[in-house]
Amino acid sequence: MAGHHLIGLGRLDQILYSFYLNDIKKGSLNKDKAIFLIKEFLKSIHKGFKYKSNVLPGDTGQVIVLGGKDHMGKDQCNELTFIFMNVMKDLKLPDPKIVLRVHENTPDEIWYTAIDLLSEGLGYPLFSNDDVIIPALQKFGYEFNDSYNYVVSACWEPHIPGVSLDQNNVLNLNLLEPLITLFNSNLIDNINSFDEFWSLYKKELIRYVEENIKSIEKIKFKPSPLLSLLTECRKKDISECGAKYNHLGILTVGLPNVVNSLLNIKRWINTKKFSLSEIKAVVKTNFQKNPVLLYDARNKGIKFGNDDVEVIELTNNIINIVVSVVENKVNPLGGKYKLGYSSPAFVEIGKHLPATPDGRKDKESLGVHISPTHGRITLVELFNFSSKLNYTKVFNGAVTDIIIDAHFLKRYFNSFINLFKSFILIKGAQLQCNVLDYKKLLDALNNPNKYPNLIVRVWGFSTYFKDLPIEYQQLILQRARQYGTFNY
Amino acid sequence: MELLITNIQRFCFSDGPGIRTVVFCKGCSLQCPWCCNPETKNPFPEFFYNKKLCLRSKGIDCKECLIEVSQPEDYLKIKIDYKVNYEFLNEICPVGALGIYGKKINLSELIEILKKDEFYFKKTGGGVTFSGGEPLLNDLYFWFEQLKQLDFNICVETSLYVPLENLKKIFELVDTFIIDLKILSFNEAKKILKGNLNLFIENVKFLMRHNSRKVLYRFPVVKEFTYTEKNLRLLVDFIKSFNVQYLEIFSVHNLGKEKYYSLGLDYNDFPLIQKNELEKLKNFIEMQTLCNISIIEF
Repeated sequence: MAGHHLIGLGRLDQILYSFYLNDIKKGSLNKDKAIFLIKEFLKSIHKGFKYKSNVLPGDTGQVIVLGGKDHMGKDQCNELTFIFMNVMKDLKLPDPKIVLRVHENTPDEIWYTAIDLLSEGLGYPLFSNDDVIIPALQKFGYEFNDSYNYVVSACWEPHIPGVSLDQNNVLNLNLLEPLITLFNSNLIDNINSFDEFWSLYKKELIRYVEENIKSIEKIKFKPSPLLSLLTECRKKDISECGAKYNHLGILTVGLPNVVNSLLNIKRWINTKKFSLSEIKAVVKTNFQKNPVLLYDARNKGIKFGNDDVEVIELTNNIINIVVSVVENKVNPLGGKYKLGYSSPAFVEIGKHLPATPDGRKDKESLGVHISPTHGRITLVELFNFSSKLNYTKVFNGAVTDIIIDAHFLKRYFNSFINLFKSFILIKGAQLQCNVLDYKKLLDALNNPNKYPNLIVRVWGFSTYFKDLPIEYQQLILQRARQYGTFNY
Repeated sequence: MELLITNIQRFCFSDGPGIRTVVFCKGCSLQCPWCCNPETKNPFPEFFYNKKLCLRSKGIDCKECLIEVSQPEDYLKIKIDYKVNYEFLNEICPVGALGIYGKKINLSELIEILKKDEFYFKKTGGGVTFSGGEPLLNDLYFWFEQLKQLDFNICVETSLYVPLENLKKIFELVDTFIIDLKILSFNEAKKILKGNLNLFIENVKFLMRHNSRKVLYRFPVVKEFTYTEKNLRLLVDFIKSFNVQYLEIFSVHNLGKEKYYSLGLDYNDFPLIQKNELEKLKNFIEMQTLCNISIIEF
């Protein structure tokens, strides 16, 4: 699309496989030469990756999708799937990166190769669960055969190549914003029960989503003759809705923060620990007025990511309110709106927000995708929690984002393969993982030049740690420490 | 029956095969000086207070725990009234600096927690581990029977310094025993560990006679205590006489230090054993026996 920089590279193991087989048959290619060619190809698209980047260095959208199942449930991995993963392991480059489509029948050798690549600490492959994404795509309205051919548009938003205009990231909804609006108003001053507060939040959330959708009602794309030629278009340019699908994607951010804020408010009101007006007064001063509330907010009670029925229900209730506003709307191009959980805007939006009752201080980052912000939450808990979220209607990026200690992963490699498999089998949607050494990371923050090749995953991309703005470096360090506390 | 525990920890890897949920029982038959879980020694609830974590030490005027006491330190002086349930204290301190070690759980509460991770247990060969403290000081027969009926893999981390009857009763129901080989001379075990080595030997004999494959031995390497010329000689003898095939060795660590302080106890750091020294020890044992040694890290 004109003006749109991030376009994924698609299912390269599927696209190239018939050429590979043909050339091998003809004798013009052998496996070693294929490996060489793929390596050179990956090296050359890596070149100048900083100049291809969008918001941050590394954010190129150069995603290679591998694996996946067909409509009979049969796994589509082939020799090239292995070659791509093994070559990326050799090259140790942050870009391009890999999304691996997995499902209940993904073979063990693929899992082994994938986790082996993951343990290099390059931040990929990202695992996308066909058993969750494909049914969601079908339910949304994508045709049966198309749904099996999904790729990701840039980071992780599912996209049907060659037949879609779908711009998957036209709007970020900050689910914390309605709560901040309430805290800045006098609407909550006389409220004594959580139920009343929840009704107000619901109302404000609906208003906020409606208003934001209005802001994109006039969205227009520039003509893109080249992309139109490469897309099955019905006599019209892709920007004039010539393609089969014309859906637009909306991302959400701040879900962990709003869930934790609501859980805290409920707990404080119900135990009569703090009244809503007290909470409001303290949060307003960035917790200066009563720092005890800050620690209580961060450490006490159940949190986003706990596999507790109450947390899961609250999280789904919030997201379902957004779904109910969005699902029947027709977008300006005649398509629908898709919703997702995983927005890249956590740092940027957080910078402009005041302190919030989840224990987030003024200007601090929002929660990263589906991952805990506070609390001692183990991976099994997070996976249980995550697998129970609504993905049927919210699939436009649904990434559970975790950090694993590098030594820990090496030592319990086989258990980890089974842990990742379990995530897929219990119907988690997408999973990405930073494999890090906290001590190394800490040292790298103070001596960036000592670790020129240290790679981290940020959102849908990996990059060199040294190239990241300090607030991103600090955030990843803070998250690595948090995750590190339960890694034994 | 209710079991007095200090903690239930999910997602553990180093306490038996696969992903496990570990139940830390309170009460122990030994007094190992290098113990890293001092809160599990006594078989009754205890207050703890970690001054370092306390917000008051950071100059914040937190009064959350000041109920009937004028400062948090005073809790350590209170004689516990067992009729009073102090568990609410754990909910009060905003940073977890003050609370009570020891809460009672019943079997259905445990099963509810275990069920959450059943899928991961099945996938990784994991299950539940009873650790402590000394879990076999409790009569766990009924619990194990019920857990087995639900098909949970059961692992027990024990010192084996318990009456043989306790072991016999539950032996069939346990999938893996993890056993620390500590000090192997009768007099020193009595003097340092405050335990009767004969109990241990009797239990080992029983285990090896019945099913030695159920047993995983570990050896904590502690200078001046287990890591002495004499004890190593006894260790080699032990390995030979019980035909131990596999042994995990690890350096003592000081991860329990804060817990000692928070119980109002003193703690002196143990010197860590470096990797190359552990390698030497591994070679030393492997040269003299047929046992395979693995070095593990915590």
